[in-house]
Amino acid sequence: MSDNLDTIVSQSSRDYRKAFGQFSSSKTQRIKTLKAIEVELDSQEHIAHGTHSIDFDKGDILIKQSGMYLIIAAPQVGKYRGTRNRWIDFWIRVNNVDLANSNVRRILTDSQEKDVIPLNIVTALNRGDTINVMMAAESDSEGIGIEHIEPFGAPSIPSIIITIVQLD
Amino acid sequence: MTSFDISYSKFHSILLFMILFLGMFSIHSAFAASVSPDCVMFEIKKGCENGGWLQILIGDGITGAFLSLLFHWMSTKTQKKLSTIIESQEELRNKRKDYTVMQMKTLFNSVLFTLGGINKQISNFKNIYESEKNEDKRIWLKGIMLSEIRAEEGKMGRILQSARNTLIAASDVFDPEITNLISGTITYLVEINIQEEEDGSITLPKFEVSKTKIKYLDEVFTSYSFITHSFEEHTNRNTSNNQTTQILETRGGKKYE
Repeated sequence: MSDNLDTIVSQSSRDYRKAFGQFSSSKTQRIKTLKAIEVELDSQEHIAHGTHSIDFDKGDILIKQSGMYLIIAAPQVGKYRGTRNRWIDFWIRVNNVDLANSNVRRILTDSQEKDVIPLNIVTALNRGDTINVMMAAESDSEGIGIEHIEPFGAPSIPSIIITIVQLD
Repeated sequence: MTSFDISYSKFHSILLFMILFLGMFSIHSAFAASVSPDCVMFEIKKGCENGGWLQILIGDGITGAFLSLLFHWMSTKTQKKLSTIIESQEELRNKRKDYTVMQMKTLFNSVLFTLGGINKQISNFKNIYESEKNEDKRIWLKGIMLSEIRAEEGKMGRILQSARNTLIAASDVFDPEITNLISGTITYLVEINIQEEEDGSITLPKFEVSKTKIKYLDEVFTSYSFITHSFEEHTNRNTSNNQTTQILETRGGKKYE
């Protein structure tokens, strides 16, 4: 009986050897400035009774284990006004410093256009490092940004999904 | 200097002596080959050439022994001097490392204290600002508060600059991982500024994350041993983070578990 209890306890507080985390946002975030802005997150996914090895606070993702990481971000982009071609960029920032060669761009024409832009990067991160997904757009008045969509009879579409896996 | 280096140096001295000895022995043996039949190999008398063995024993043997002793004494003396220099360098390095860890700990505690002060000031300001109805006084209050906060931010900036200078000066004594860890935190904290919102309120974004990052660093500094002059294994630190997890989990929005 005691052994079973110990097993249950040890299983319930499982520690994973390598860090990982999946984050998403259920908030539509439109760009209202021409400056770069941080993408905000509001949920972290299920990890099967373990301890979260990566944390977050709004837009800041906090690394708790040093190592080499693969970061994949998939923002759901869109706009609600205007018919001119407008670009929107997404990139990674580590400790408030932009990560080289991490930028991706998508051109949006009208409000009917919806797309997901994959952004992937492999980088070395230290314990305590903070990661932000940044975005900037050509226009601040056309509602360009990332959109949370709630389809009928299907799971909701987060405005962004970020997956982070420690490689080594 | 390691024991391997010392034995390697001794081996060289012995080898040098052996070469000298065998070289002399071969030459004198050749000379001694022509000794007259009336003379014994080790005999010393008029008309007899000294044999090779005798010449080696009397002359070259003693000279060789003297020289080898001299060389050995000189090399030992040099080794001792080198060992002393290396030891003093290592001691100096350890002292620098100890000082840097202590200094960094103090500086980051000051940063944490200053950040906490700013946060507290903002929260107090919010209460006073919201309760004040007179618009002129509200503007005056905000002006005073902003100038006080700017002064605190300036102070924090100077502390962080001092931390960066200390880190640069000690970058050769720390592992690159530790240097990157500290440098990353400084870079992050330098960018922390108060924000004025559209409704007139003031906020300090990223206060909690900054606090967490400084706590991580503090864990690293605390793990430093002034006896072994090294940080604990990084893996130990990586797993001891449940407390910090809980701090963030209370704030970080919903979690699907």
